[in-house]
Amino acid sequence: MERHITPHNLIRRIGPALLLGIAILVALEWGLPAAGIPVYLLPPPSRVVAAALQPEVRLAYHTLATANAALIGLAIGAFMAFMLAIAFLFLRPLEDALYPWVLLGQSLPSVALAPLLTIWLGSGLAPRAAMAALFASFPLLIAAISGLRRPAPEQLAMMQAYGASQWQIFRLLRLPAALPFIFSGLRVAGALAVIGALVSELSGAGQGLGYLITTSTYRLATDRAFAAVAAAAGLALALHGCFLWLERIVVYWERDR
Amino acid sequence: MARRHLFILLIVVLLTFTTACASTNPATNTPATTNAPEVTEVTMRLQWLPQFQFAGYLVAEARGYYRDAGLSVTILPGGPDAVPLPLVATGADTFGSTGADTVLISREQGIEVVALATWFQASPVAFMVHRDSGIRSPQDFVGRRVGMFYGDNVETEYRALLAATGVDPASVNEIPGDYSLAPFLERQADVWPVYATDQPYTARAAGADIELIVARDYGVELMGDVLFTTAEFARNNPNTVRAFVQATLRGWEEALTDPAAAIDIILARSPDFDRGHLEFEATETIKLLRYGIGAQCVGASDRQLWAKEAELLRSLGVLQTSIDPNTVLLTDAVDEYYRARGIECGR
Repeated sequence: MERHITPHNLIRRIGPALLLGIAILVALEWGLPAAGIPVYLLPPPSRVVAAALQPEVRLAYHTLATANAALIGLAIGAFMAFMLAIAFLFLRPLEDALYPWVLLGQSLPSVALAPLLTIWLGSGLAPRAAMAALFASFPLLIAAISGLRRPAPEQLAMMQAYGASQWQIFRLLRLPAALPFIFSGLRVAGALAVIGALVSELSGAGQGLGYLITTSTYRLATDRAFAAVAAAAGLALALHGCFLWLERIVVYWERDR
Repeated sequence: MARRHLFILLIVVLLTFTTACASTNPATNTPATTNAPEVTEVTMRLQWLPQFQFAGYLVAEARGYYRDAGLSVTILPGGPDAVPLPLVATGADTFGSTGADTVLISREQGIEVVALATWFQASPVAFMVHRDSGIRSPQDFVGRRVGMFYGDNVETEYRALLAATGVDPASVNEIPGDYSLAPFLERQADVWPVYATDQPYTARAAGADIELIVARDYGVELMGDVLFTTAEFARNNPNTVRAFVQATLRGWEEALTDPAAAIDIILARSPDFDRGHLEFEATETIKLLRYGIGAQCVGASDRQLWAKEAELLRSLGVLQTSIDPNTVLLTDAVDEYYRARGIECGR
């Protein structure tokens, strides 16, 4: 039974944030025109909503394109990060050799890679997914590494004393200990994958929220650009929510914390 | 149990995603006759969004002219970070659209590309000012803030304009800009370089009262968009090049005689574009295509004009050496197209 989320609880939990959000939107709606701020600089929320609903903007179509690239990138990035974390766990020299390079790679401005990815991987989905994977993999790798190293030496010694194999230690001790970390990593990685896909779409994509932002900015249709930004935020939030829900099911033993 | 089901579901979802997104690789046809295209699957990289600037390609695609010529063409949009030159030079894309200056400059850098057709016989670049700013000529730029896109053909044109009018670049306050007009409209800049075919409409729609300063009026004769590919591709695939160029010429011919139909095609592809905006762009673009040699033959290359541009770029220090335009022009397909129609293009 899900006894934690009752309607009453839900209101109490998200109520304050919702109220603040509504207050800000109302303030912007009245404040922006009153302050004489032109629509092309900062459109009032009603304009953004209207832009989002215009059929010719095709917000759903562009959102789906970005979601597709972000999800594929996330899947690839997560798989690679997880495999690398396991490899690091069992092959310490590999970690010593690779980890500094992984860190260095993370500090490179990935945005600068976008044009190169288009050259290497073509113009379709591949460069978008690759950028999303690049963005997503690092926090996941860090999370998985710390999680898999989580069990205390005594716990490991105990398993070994009972003759557990490496695989059993991994499956019964390390993986369950790592799961909460991995899910935290996934929640961060989900948002980053959306950003990665979007950044990649800024360079030469014919669809996606990044494309919508570029074209709208060029035409000073700032309301459309904001609608695209809102959709991207919604996408990141939806992914966050999905992983939170999955975590509650998979890591059931942590639910009551 | 529930967990296992969920896991299987996840895998199924992921698999569906990956298979749905795996690209298919259609087999390329082998040429049946000697005139058939050597390569049938080609891509065309635009420098910007698929707007009227590229109507020739878009009409040729929509009307099936590429298909008639035995080609399967994918038109790809450009953007701030999707620059056609490296994409075509590396072979990632087959054909591209770029400025005539880029073709000349890349030749000096050892990138062997050739221009197959010259679309914009005159440069689309203009310098936009607010009417009430009192700026009427490049001499008035002194002490003012001028938006600049470094490394772009806009910068070349700006340097040429200052040199032609004897304005010291150090006396102008350059500020880096991008493709959004907001800094100009907010008067954070006094002069903003624009594509005269496109952005004046945006500025006026935002309520600005503007004027344009055009380098051409000060004797700076630069060209604009050209169609290009690598010298190697053109050498190895003359039939593909001919088929692509001539189908595109058909597309342009129709776009020029019936711009409204071309706009319908563009809007069908990008429903978020604005018809009024496209109509403005069509009017202004057609002027540039019909300028000079284009009055007779759209897409033809005026070798004297190319030589003049190469010389101008050299005098500005953009080019270090003299480049013979004949080494970067491959106009057989265009020339043949007009010869077959009995049209004399000249030069």
